[in-house]
Amino acid sequence: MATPSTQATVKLQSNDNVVIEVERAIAERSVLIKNMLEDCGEVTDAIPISNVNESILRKVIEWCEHHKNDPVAAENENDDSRKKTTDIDEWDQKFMNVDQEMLFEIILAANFLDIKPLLDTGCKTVANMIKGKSPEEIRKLFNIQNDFTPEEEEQIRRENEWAEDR
Amino acid sequence: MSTVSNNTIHLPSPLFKLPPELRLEIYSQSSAFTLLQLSHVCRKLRHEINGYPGMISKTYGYSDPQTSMSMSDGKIKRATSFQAKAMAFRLRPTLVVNPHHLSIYYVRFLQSAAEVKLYRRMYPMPEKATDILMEKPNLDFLPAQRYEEAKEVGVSCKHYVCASCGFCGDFGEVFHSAMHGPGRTKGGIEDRVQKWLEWEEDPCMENHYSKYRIGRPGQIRAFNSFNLWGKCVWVPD
Repeated sequence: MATPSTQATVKLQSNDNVVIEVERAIAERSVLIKNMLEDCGEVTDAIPISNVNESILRKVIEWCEHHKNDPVAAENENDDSRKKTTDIDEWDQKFMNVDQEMLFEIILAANFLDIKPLLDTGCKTVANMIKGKSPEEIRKLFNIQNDFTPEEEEQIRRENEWAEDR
Repeated sequence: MSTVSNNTIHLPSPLFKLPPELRLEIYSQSSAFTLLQLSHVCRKLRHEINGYPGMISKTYGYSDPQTSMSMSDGKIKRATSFQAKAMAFRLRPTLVVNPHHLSIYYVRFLQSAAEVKLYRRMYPMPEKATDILMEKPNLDFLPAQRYEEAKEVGVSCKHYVCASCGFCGDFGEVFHSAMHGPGRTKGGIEDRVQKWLEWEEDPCMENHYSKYRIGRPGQIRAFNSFNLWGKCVWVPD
């Protein structure tokens, strides 16, 4: 294993070839980057973030900057404790107040970079968008086509109705 | 890839840009009632959601009636409002419930005012069974928030205070008085009802106790079916 590096900043390169320099502590909110830096030691070249474009990368860095002092959840501290509430911090709510395209790109980037709290926030945001909406409203929200056959719709209706016992 | 039908271009939904494991993350953040709605959106989501029975069973508000309730032997373990109403009003699902499909039959609690509104709109119950599903104590809803949301949808939130020790809880905690002690000491419905009579309603946020009992001796038999439940769900203002 390489000697731990003391470098203060690292360079990240988006998939559209934009290089962004960030504090190492901020970049290390990403478990992927943290592990990479630990394995490689001093890195002078830009680290390619192949799945993320510049605008999303900047957005992710903005989130990491804001949360750079948050305690890092212990590994396996686990999924159940992360999911107990769908409450989202006020700053995060504003941060996630973006168009759907960007919201889903942020979720994908968080998953790729292995930033679990950001991934959770993104998923909670989507879950909250769905909450209290009927199937038709969800279709409109996410531009989904209703592809049920009339027979399938009837089956769904019957599975979810109550009738007087005779 | 986009598809064209009836002169309308359907671009792929952004939801389907996510890999299934990330959609699973979203599902696991949703309540059972919301998942039910989601599973009625399209074939893909219906198939996908129902393909994760383990995840569904852990969602907020889910209850499997097959394993959580046994009325036939005179014991009530747990029951959904739906099921309690069904017993009381002799209702039944029209189909044998498909254990592989999430249906309203598996929804025990609603999570928010928005869900209560939607439930009322989409699942109108027969005239007599108009009570609203109870909101369970939940990390997402502080009492004050629950009260505000309850007002918004036109129901009142009631808490219950144990007459003997002052323990305050809401319906879920009172009903499962096994968690609280005295209700479980003897067993049998009569004893449990007797203990229930020691609980009194405390309409929350109103700074006074309404000293009326949640069960009356004449309703003891009704414990086998619905009435005592009926006294304990959130009731319309």
